[in-house]
Amino acid sequence: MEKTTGARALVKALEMEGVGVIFGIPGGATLPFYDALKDGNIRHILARHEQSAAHMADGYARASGKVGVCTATSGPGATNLLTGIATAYMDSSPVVAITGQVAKAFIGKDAFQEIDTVGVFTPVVKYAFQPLSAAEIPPTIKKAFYIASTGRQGPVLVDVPKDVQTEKADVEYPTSVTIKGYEPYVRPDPAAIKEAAKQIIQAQRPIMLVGGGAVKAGVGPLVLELAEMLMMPIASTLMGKGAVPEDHFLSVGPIGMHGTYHANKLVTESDLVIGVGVRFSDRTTMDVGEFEKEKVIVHLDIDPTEIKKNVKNVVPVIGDLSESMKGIINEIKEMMPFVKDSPWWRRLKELKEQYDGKVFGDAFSPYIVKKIRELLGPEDIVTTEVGQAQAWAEIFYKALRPRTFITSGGLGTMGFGFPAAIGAKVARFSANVVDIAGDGSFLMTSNSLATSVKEGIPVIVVILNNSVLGMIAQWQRLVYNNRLVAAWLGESPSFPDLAKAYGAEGVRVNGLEDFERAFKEALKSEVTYVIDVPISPDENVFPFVPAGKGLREMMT
Amino acid sequence: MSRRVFFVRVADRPGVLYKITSIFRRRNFNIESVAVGSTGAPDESTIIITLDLNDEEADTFARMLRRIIDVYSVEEHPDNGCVIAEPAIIRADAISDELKAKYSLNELMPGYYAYMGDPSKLENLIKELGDNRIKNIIRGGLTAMVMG
Repeated sequence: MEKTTGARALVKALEMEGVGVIFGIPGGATLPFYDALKDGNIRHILARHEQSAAHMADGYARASGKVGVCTATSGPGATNLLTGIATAYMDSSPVVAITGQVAKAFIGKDAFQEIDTVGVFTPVVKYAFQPLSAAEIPPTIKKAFYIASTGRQGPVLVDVPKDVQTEKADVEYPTSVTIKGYEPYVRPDPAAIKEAAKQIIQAQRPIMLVGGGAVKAGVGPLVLELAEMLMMPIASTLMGKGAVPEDHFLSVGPIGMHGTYHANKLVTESDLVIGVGVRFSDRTTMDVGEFEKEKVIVHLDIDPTEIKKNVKNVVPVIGDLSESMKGIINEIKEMMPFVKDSPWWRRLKELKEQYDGKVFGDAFSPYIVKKIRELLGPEDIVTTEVGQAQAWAEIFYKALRPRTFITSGGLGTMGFGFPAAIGAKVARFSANVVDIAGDGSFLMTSNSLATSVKEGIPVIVVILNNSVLGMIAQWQRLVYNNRLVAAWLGESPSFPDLAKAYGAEGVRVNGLEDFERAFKEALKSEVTYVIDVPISPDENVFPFVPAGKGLREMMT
Repeated sequence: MSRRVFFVRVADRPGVLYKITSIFRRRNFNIESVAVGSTGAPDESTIIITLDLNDEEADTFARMLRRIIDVYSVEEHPDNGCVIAEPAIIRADAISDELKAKYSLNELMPGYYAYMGDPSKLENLIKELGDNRIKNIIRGGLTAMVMG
């Protein structure tokens, strides 16, 4: 028990959770908290927009597996943070957001910079707290970290009124936590495991589909073990990239709107899909009725809400992924010998030999993405913006380790990649971190250049610069009868000049060899390095499955 | 589609009802009635939700409810497995003793009558009184208890 202010208790509680870094911007309602930060041991990284602060914390969380922390003031600080928190929510990323709130007496009175933060955030967080006394702060922080990091992970909001920050109280720091109604660990039902195993061994053409849950649960080795027993292909979702090394002989890369040709083909031909930590999103399955047709779907997930949400006809195994996978492997080991050869395995081999890394059409971007893969080590990290650049990266960048491919999969937030790269670099400073960007997305959060320079967090930004909102242009060309509207961005700004204006490095390259030279320079650079790669505005990302179509209807 | 009654034990905390009603709003479930009551357990309330759903929707709804951290438990029952009652206050011109007795109406103040009982019987009462005799009516929503 000690007498202290709410703000000091907040800083100490965060330190006790092992927090070493916070991304944020101060404001009127967080001044007491910032004052307390000055005496604490937490590094504060100053963002230039709250959305970026949230993406940085999210990038930090995704790269490290630890909880990322961001902070903003009340009102506009909080609403700016919202997009970043919604991004974390859609991709189940453990982030704790601390917002300042006006003093209790002003809540609900439309005071300056007041907004109903808890009300606004509730639909996009796993839980929202508003401690109303200083003594409540340490237990609230304990609960916030526990909720964010356990079960199906997700962001948690802690909204702290200003007078709660300044109030003095006797506070105690709990060392353990239980929350009534919240049991994050779920042991899978043995009967469900038996049924799943039975279905799997009956299949002639099984395929594994690994998602973001498999990355978070670290079940890559178990996925490989099962896949190798049955010699079946391992496909992934966009979020599942890196759960298993994508250079493994059974890996076929992602399926979906911008999946690889052979992965989409194989999942279409399969008679059983084993979904591991996936939610069968619309971008993954495309036409879901078509996807489910003539297939058994075994669905392993920690979150019961996901079962039967999108695909209806499933054999579910609800619970801890690691336990579920181990259970299924043990069952199958008892029931059948290892498969060494099968028509399905030969089909996989044939398709993979033909289509692995294949570039359809005359696009140049894929060669840049492949070159980045070639020049980076397996532990290095790639983040992406959203749009064509993301789709190129999805198809052509092979992630070799979990947590090395970081992208906004669910919300699809443009402007995510660059601040997320900064957060990832803070989490793993020894790794090279590269944001694969488009010119449209990068401009949304390019002011994070100031953060990266001032705080000494060097990352590499590769801008596939086609002077258009590329994915918009692609859809307008292919789906809207070639009627281009509002897609043209033009050639402003000059990205190298923009980078230099912030004190970063920037260069425009011409062709693949020039890119390679610049990228090698960038790897040696001690400041953030922006490489501007001119791309034709007419490039389309292929394969492409238009919305509403089934995976078999790929455009190439 | 069939009428179902959900008994949802929740934390007695501000904001819980908001999270639950958000499910109706987002998934476009048409609720018939929501009643919030205490069950005697400290820091805990029970929310009784009556709505028409098919099996799949009911399953989804229950899962979405369970996902809310402030929800402690969810039980779903078909309405024929429950004792259901609905309260109402009716302001009407003088009601005959015969009608009062038939519907067990309790005259709270002159012209104000309280009803408590079977919701279908309440419908009958409203029909029997007719629009021109009812000056105002407030129905309290269904409250229910599982039988057995």
